[in-house]
Amino acid sequence: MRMILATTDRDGASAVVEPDAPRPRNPELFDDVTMRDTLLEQREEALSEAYRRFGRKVFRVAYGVLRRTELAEDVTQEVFVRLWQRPERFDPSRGSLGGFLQLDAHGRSIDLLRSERSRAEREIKEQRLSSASSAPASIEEEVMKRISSAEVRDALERLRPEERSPIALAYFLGHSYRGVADLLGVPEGTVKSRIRTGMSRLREQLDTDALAFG
Amino acid sequence: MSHDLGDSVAAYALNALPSEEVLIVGAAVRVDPDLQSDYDTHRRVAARLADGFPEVVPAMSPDLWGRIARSAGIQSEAPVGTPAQDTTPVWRRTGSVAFGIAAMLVVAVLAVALLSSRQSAPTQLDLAAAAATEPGAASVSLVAPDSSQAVFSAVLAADGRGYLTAESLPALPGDRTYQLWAIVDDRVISAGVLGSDPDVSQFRVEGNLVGLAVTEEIVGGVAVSENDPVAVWLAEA
Repeated sequence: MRMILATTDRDGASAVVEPDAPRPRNPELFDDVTMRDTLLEQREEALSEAYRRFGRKVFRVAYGVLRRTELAEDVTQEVFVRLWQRPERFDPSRGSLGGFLQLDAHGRSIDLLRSERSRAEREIKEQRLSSASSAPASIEEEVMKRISSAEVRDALERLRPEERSPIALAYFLGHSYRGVADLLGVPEGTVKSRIRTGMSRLREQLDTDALAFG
Repeated sequence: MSHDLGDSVAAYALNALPSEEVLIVGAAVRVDPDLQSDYDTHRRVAARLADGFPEVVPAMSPDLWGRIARSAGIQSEAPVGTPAQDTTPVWRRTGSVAFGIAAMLVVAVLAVALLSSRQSAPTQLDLAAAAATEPGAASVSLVAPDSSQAVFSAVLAADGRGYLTAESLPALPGDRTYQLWAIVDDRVISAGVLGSDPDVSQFRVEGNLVGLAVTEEIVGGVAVSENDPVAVWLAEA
C-alpha cells in the first residue's frame, strides 16, 4: 500500500505530498495549492522548489520512455518551463503536482518518441529490446521484466493478457492504439476497448487516491 | 456518452491517441463533465503506472536547472537537494434559440463596429457583418475550456465561409501565433494561421463542420497541433 502524507491548505482543501519526494526546503511551499498559487504569482522560488522535489521523477519517466539522457533532459526542461509559463494548467483539486508533472513528461516524451526524428531510433531500441524475436508477446515480456514497481507489475499481471498487452505496449513503449493494433493484429476499436476495460481493472487494484493528476 | 468516445478517452488518458485525434478528444473532454470525470479517473491510473519505470536512471546534467532557469527567464539559484451524419452542416441543422440570440448579439456588435469603420473598401469586419445577415448563417462562440469565457465569436455562412472575431485574447510574442482548426466529421483540419494578435479572420470549411478550436503555435503554424486549445466550439449533435 502506498503511503501518503496529506496536508490541509489555508482554504481547508487537502493536498498530497509524495513520500519519496524530497522534503520541501521552503515550508511555505509544502502543499500543492500554495505551490500553484505561488507559481501563478511568478515567484521564482516556487519553480525551484518544484524542480527540487519532482525533477528526478520527471526525468525518470522521460528516460523510461525515451532511453536517451539528452532527450529525457530536454523533456524535463520543457515540463518545468511549461509549468512556469502556464501554471494554471495544474488544478490542485484534481490531483497532485507530482502526478501532473510525471504525466506531462510521459505525454511529451511520447510525442517526441513518435516524431520523425526519433522513429528510426525507437525501432532500433525495440529490436534490441526484443532480442532475436520481435513478436509482440516477447516485447511485452521484456517490458514487464523492466517494471520496477512490484505493485504496478502485479496489477498488470492480474489483468487478462488481451487487456495487459495494449496498456503495456502503449504506456511503456509509447505506441498509439493504432500502433498497438498493428502489432497485435487486432482491430483498432478492439484495442481501445481493451485499454478502457484494463484501465478500469487497474483502478481497482492500484491505490490511485494518492496520485491523482492536474 | 458513446461507447467509442469513452474508449477514446481511456486511450487519451494513457497518451495512446495518435496526434490527429488528441485535439478533438481533448476538446470533448473539456466541455463534457462526464467525460472529464472519466478522464480524471483514468489519469490517476496512468499516474500510478509511472511508478513502473525503472528507478535506476543516468544522472541528470548538473546544468539542467540552469537550462530551465534560462529558458524560463528567471535567475533563481540552483535548488539544493536534487533535484458528430448528413451533408448539411450542423450549424444549419441546429436552429436553436441560443443560436438566434447569439446571432443577434454578434450582428449588433459587428454593426456597431461597422458604423465606426472606414467607409472605403470592405474590410473583413464588413464582410463578417454582412455574412451574419445572410440566410442560413449562424453565429457561435468559441470559449476557453477552463473558464467558459467567450474568446472568439464566429459567423458561419451557409456556403462554408466563416469569419472569426477575437473577443478577449492576449497578444502573443512575435514568435508565436494563434491557429484555427476545423473539426470536420472526425478529422481535424487546419483552417488558418491567425497571427499573434488577430482581429477578424476569414476562413472556409468544406463538409460537415462539427467544431472549431484555436491553439497557440509557433510562427507559421503547424500541420498537427500538440497543444491544448485556448478556445473551443463544438456543435450540438
